[in-house]
Amino acid sequence: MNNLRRSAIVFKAISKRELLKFSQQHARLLSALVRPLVWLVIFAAGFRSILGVSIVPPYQTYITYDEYVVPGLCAMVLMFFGMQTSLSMVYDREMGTMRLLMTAPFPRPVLLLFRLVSTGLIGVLQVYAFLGIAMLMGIEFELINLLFVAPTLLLSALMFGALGFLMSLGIRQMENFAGVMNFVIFPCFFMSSALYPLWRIRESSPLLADIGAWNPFTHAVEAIRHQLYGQFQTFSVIYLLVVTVLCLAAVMFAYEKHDIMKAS
Amino acid sequence: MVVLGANGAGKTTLFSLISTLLKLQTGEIRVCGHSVSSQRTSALANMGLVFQHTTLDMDLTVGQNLSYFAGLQGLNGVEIEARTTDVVHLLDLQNSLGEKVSRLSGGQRRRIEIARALIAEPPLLIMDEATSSLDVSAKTFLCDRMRDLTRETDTTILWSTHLVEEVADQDRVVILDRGKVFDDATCATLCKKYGTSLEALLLKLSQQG
Repeated sequence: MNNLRRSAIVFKAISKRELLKFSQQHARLLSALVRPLVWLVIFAAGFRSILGVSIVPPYQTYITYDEYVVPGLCAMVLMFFGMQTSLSMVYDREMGTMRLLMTAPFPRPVLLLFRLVSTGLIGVLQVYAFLGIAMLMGIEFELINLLFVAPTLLLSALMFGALGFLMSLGIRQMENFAGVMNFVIFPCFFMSSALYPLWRIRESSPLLADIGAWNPFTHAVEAIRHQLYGQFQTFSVIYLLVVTVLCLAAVMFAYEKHDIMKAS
Repeated sequence: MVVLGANGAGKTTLFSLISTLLKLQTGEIRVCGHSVSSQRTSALANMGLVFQHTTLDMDLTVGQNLSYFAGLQGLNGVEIEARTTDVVHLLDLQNSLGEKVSRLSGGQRRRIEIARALIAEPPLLIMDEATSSLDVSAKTFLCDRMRDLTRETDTTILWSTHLVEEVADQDRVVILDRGKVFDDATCATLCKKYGTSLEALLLKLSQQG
């Protein structure tokens, strides 16, 4: 059979399973939307009156705080989704379904990549659902830019998913996962440009600003922010690509060279 | 062919090596001429696997589980439909296709796993203690169906077990003992050679250990 056709069949099978499972997890679907909306409706509304954002690229004019945080919240949706992907990897290892994937007659790295892309696509759909609600609340974006941002959203989803995959290698039991979430998600989110520009952080803590500048989450936020306003942030996109490739390579190496399933 | 051995004899390790879940340190395993180390995907394409513990997706229905696995094997939509019909008929699962796996009994789940392993018509079916957690009627059903399958098709079954009652006189039996092949012959030949039943032989081996 043609390799490309076979790959398409395998990708379709993996994507369909992910979509079926996701569609049954109503709480996950709801929380994925409610979480950023809470930040947008409550947090951003509160800060709107006390915090203005001066003109920084890609913005051409002063903007309100709620408009500023939307790209960061898009990245937050993707990061939570990526971390949940790693949770589902741990779950699949515990339940045995990962063995099935790893014994499919197809190269393991490709199987892992397919799984990552299929979950990433679901994450991107969630971001669009969030952006739709944000637009209903008065945040304005040009439709063309909503299309323009799609590849960056997918790249960011892949990066967070790859990070999640990498983390799942070190997590042997589901019980250990909550702690890891707290040690990864919140520091990543708060030490980034999601809630405030890095130059503002630098005023109070140069070290924190430097950490933020290296934080992959910051680059996901900035790449999304620029593309939502029709600009391309080359450095951030390259940064995302590099982190994604490194994480994926580490995960694939681990699955290919070590007996990852041994402990499951 | 039955791989017989007491607990800890190395049956599951052997299964994991053949199914590529564990990497070979030395030696070579070939499945239908394909090395599991250097031709992993070709080797896996020639085998159906039934794991000791369930690997079914509990959130999905029986049909969705079969369809997912068939897709991983590279079967297209038409092939999936045709093969699903065949395997559900073979294992009497016609009425369960739309049921969620989590609602089914252990015996039914085991049947689904065997149906799933057979969906791509592999020449080799490897079952790792597939009946160890089943009641007598479910065990008898599976043993009978698997014997029918080997009679009616060219499928070879590698049946790993510690339950002597699952072995028939004409079966080829490989006895594993502490990671090594102790003997390899038909059940009748082994009983004649050692002048005892398989059960007594296994008991002796485990006591020596």
